[in-house]
Amino acid sequence: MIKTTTVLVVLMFMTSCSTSGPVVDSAVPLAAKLLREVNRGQVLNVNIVEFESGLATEAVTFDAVTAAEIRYLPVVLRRVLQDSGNWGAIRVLPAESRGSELQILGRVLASDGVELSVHITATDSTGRVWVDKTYTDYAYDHAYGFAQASLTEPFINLIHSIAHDSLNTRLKLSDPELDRLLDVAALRYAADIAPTVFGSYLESGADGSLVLTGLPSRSDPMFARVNRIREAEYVFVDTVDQEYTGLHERMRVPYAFWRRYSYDLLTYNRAISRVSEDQSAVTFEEMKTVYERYQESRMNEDELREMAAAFDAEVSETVFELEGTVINLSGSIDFQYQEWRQILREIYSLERGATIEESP
Amino acid sequence: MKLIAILFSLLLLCACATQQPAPVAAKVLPNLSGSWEVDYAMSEHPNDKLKYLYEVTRSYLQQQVSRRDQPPGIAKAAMADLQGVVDLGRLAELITRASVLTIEQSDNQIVVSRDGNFSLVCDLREIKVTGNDLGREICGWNGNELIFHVSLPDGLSVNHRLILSDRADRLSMSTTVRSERISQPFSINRVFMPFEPVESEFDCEYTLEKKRTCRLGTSGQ
Repeated sequence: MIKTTTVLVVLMFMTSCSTSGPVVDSAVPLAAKLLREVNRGQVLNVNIVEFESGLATEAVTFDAVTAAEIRYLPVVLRRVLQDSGNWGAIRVLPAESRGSELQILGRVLASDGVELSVHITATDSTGRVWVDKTYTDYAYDHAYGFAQASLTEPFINLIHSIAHDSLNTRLKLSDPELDRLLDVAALRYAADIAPTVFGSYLESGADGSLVLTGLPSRSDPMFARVNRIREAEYVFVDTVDQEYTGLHERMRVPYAFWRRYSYDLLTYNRAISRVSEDQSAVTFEEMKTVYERYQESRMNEDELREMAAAFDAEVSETVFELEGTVINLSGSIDFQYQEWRQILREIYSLERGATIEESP
Repeated sequence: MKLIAILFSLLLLCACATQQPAPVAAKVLPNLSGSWEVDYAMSEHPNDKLKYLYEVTRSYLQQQVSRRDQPPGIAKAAMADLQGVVDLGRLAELITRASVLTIEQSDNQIVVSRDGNFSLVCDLREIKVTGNDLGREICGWNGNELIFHVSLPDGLSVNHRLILSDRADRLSMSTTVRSERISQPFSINRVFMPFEPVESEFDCEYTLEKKRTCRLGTSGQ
């Protein structure tokens, strides 16, 4: 830790002395760049799968908000992981991917503007669980004192905790262990496409995690082909990822307002419940205020629902060129992703002159 | 508590319905889909209704007071309550201002979009309570009526009842506003007729910051 800090300080000092040098890419925070210098070892790519709603069935909530935030929160986590500079590519996906080096799944257990509770499971390619924990955070009024121009995430500490716990496990791994994770991820992907060819390279260990039994030759044309297909999938995934980023940008303001209103009302109602049961005559202004508060929150919810619906239904058609073949994909993100993976499998099988293999 | 009572009532209604002889064919629910605009000729006018209610009740109360057998406090309380009903009426007028309804109905869901107000959304797969401490909603079919019940803090509640006419050429939306602190509710019945919407030259959106804002001519781009 001291060593890392020392290197960091030295690097910061060096950077401060070289202001006349090359222009720094301002898109990447300086701290992230420095950390990246420190962590020069193998980097893992992270796939964050769209969260699930795990709200208890008896819980009372707005469906539209839940539908939107299960896509919003992964993007916030992605940004935090990205800014840390400790990881490779970080992508948000609509569904699990068997080729993930580190995959993060989330389940929203509670979200009402005051409390956010999310269960996170982070699993590496071998099946080893890095994080399996419920994170809960409470927003206090200071977290909501934002101007619209500088909206902050009131639950950012929760997201930082997830990033911190993931990094803790990552730092305990040696370079050979990290290399193995990358190999297993590549072979899991290959075995998913061609189980009979690549399935034998992996077997379950005593603890249930996947163990490598060998590696295909570096010059193996089939493995090289699978890797190219995997790269092609990344191209699509990056397009999908842009859709999530777009949704996050569009949602940032209405979602923040929803949380703000929800927070205000919850605290207001808790305060009211402590006041005596005053049954004095109600005025028009009081009733109007009660109705308009609800009306505003619901109109905001309408906006969120429209965004969520647009994300499902109106995702623009995606056109790819894959080695001379133009591929058109349309429909929801999830549907496009499934279709794309099927096309890749078909291309692979056709080239081998074989029928499509079924995954085990 | 009140919400639970309503839920039970809805369930009871469903349960009662099952006591009847089984229909030969599956029950077809009305299809409310489409664009609807207010038929002013057939709709109630909140202000007229309020004036009528106010005059009739006030004259009744005056009669009570003139009989002199009523303690003056009761008449005063009754007048305050009348003011409450008038206030409910003013609120009902605010709530029912929408002149256009756009309804999307599928097997799973009905969305009643109202201009200038939030959409009423009903999940038809199961009866459930939605919302949070700002307010809670429950909805569902009661026979041929689609009912939305909104419970708000301070004992305020809003009930919308949508009924399609037999010829499907009119849609009635009856809105009742109640307060636990006022003796009687206030109802307004608005009637809508179908229309074919033309593509608007305006692109409108609702934001909390700017409320409803419209831009001209962007839809065709």
